Amino acid sequence: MKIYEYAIRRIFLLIFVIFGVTIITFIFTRVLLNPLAAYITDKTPPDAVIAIIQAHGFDRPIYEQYFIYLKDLVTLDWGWSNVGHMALTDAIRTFFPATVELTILAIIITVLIGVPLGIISALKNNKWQDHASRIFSLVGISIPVFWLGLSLQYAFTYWTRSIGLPFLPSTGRVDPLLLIQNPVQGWTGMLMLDSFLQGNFVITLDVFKHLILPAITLAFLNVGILTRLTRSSMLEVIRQDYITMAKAYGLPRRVIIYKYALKNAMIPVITSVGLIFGGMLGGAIITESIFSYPGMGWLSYRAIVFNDSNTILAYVVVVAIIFVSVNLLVDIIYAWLDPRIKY
Amino acid sequence: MTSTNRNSSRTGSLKYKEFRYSLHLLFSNKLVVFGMCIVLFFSTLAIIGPLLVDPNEPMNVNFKNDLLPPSWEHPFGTDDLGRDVFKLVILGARYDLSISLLVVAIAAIVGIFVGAVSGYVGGKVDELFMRIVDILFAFPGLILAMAISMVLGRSFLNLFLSLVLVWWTSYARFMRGQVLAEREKLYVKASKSLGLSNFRTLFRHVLPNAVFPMIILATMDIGSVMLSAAGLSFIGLGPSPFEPEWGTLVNRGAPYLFMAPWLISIPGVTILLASLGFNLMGDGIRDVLDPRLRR
Repeated sequence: MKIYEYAIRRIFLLIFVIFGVTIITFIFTRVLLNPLAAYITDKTPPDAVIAIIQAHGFDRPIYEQYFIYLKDLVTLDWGWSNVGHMALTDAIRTFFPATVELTILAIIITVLIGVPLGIISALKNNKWQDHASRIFSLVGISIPVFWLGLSLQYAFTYWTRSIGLPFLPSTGRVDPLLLIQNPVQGWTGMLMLDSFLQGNFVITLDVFKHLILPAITLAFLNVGILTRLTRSSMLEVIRQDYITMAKAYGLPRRVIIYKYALKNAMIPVITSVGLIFGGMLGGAIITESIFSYPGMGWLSYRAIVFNDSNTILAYVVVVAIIFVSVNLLVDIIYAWLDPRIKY
Repeated sequence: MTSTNRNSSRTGSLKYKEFRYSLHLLFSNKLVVFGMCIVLFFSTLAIIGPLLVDPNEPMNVNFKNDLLPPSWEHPFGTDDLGRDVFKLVILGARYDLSISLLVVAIAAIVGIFVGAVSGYVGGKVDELFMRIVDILFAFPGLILAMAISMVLGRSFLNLFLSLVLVWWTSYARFMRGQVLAEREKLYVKASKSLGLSNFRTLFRHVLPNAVFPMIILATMDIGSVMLSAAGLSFIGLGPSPFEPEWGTLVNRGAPYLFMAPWLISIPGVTILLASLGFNLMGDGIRDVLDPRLRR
């Protein structure tokens, strides 16, 4: 089978999975919970409610309602977000870029620490470097994210300030006063990128300062996962015959590792970086809620607190679609990188 | 694993030797022993905790004592409701350990059953189950659990249910792969040609051969289930404040971070230790049971 045939088959599967996802969210929003909640607020006049019921088909049979729900999804008529105080699609457009920005920084940290640590750990198998990095990654996967976030906040904003050292901001995305003095036009919604492109480096630096602690918090668990994965993948590769062969040829160790071993060892690592990225986009809820970082995770956290199921389920749909698309992309890259793979 | 039992007494003694060698390997690893000690310690706390301290402590609200720093009387201080954090943490062991063990156990049983049937029967059944698994896999872990417990309402039972609903899929997928590999082996054909029913072949012969890696997966999952449960209750989807689950304790302590840091650090470190214990143990068991990693 050719690679594009594989890609086409996977895209069909993706469409099927997205239908499945919408069935689940349909059951949640329109069957188990009150479907009207998304479209009315306290201020909706009673006679308008009937029109809304008819417009969205809440009086129709269930199977018809599903298609109406799909139509609403596609036409971006997602209803109102009570915690966002705006239409849901607007809320996602406003808050999602912040999450993407945080996730990108976190994934950079994860890769920059996790991959080298895993490689060192594998090359120094059973030496002290290996033990140290294994313990570090074990602690990484065992640490509760919320506790890590709160502790970082305590250490780097409260404690460093109390002994007179420079400190990092504990909450928010940017200093609002600074933003008023140096306005940034919203091109992509990613404040750091926008301000950088517009040459507004004061804001870039401030946003970066706000991002450090949340990004470390979000990255920490994944550093542990990635280190362990890189280590085991590298160990597997350097035990293979072709590496022994290269050694027997008398090639220098550096060439063997960087030219022969690393390429093959990195294939599963790339796949899992894709998975981690998708997971981070969805898993940022805890991190964002601790640092009051105004992204989608923070919005969903507030939605949980104020029982706004509509916002949460919209977020679930968005994250699921992104997650499966990233997975698809990663699988195709995987197949393209590794010609040994049979589909 | 699938050794033909031509000489049962000999293989028996071999298996016993193998078992003893595995145990020796397990106990010669200091980190694993450390992990086991932690697990044993918290299991003991979970069982006898209510005997050690007053089980009514979560109800013991006393605003005169709120936010007291650690002292002899209250070794870990008191929380915003004036309750002793030391006692709450001890009582919380029962909640966190039971939820992580139960979630893993039930999810593994459901997943193993579905995966085994799916892989063995094949055809439309397989297609149906695996598509369901595919759909559930489309949600990043915590997100689906969050949505489910949001829909079901906030309680300890619903937290448990939502985690099971999310976690069984990975076991099902993995088990299906195992059964698919086993199905082609000679002993399955032999068992069929002897006229054994499909049910008996699957559950008496294929399952014991395929279930082994599941056990490794399950031991390694306990720690992450514990973290997920604590995380969900931290964002407010857990039990009520009167059930002293550790994540809930951190959640209640978070607003007092700068005034009373012991409120989050004590339960936080407790969760870290407990999940570290389970992860160390799981890693050790995997290293011993997976022969490729032994040397």
